[in-house]
Amino acid sequence: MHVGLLVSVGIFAAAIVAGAFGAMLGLGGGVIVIPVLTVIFHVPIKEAIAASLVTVIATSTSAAAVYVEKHYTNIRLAVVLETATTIGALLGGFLVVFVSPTALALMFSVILVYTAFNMARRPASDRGTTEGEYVVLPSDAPQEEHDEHVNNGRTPYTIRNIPAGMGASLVAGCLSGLLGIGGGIIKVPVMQLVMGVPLRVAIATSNFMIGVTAGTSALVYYSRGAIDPIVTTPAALGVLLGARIGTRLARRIKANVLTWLFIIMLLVTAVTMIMRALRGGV
Amino acid sequence: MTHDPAATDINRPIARVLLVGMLLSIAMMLVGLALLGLNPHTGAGTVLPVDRAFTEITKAHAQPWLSLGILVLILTPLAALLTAVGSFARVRDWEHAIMAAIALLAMAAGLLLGRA
Repeated sequence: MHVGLLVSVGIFAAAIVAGAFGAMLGLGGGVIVIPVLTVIFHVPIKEAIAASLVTVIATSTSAAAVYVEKHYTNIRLAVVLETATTIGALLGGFLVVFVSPTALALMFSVILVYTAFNMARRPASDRGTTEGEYVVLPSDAPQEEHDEHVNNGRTPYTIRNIPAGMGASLVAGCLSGLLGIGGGIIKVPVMQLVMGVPLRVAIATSNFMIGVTAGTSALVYYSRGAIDPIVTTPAALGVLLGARIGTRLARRIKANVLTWLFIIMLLVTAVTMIMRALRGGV
Repeated sequence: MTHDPAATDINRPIARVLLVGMLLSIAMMLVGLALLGLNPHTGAGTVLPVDRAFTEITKAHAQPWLSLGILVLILTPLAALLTAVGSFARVRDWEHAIMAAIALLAMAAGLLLGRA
């Protein structure tokens, strides 16, 4: 078998596992795909970032098609925040040229540790699985209107602190361009805790935005010819297939056990990447 | 679900664009991988520029199919945003139509500056 094809098959298999883990744990592809490509397949980190961006688009698009159709996504909010995120992504996509691979690996390790901390803090039951109907109200909506929706079984919410949300979106976009992650790990908590958006809507809206943000960064990589199709295609297809498998497996596996196993894996990967970065091996 | 009758007009076309873009890109990537299996030496290197990928697609090489599959996937969210501009304009929500257009312009700037 040709080496390129052999590598593609290996990446495809690893991406299925990564996609399944991501779907079971509510994470995007980037946090898992980049360590898999760099640590297991020794793909240079900038190539891994480019491949990760494409896998992030794949998973985001797949989920967003459903979320948008079911109206969980608040398209208006997504568009408002996306103006800041896209500018951030553009900035990140250009900055990456000037940042050394060692610095990128160290920054990515920090994101891994932050993700692990965030997962440990947030109970497994609180991952946005609540079905229901949500309604966005203007900030000056009378209490009667609010109560009427509650009585009809809907969850009303009001969006607040839009400037704070746009600031966080700019940072998330910049990190997406720099590190090949979706940035949902920043946007979802900010939308939920700072802007008052219900978790389910925040996840769906962030998911839609992630595709656009990653698309902006990926366009920069594509136009520079910095995407390797032998690495990227099997990674994207594998993650997509894995996400489908993971969604089914999630119902059979205890979420808490899985979460803690994954937290340990994230921390081990972060330490491995830091050690390799300090030795100059990325 | 978000209870907003006007959202139906906005969301449905966007959801369709996302689905069609994703399926098209998957199909192109699968053709590319099949060609890679048949001709393992035709997929190496990086993605091809758009004009070269279109020119070489008839040669039954993996690289142009894989390149265009990846490009279609990258452009799918952009196409969804473009659809959002049209959808907002149709319901005369100019504020959000302009904001979506600004995000689109930033993406276009990314492409142009990346080339430069």
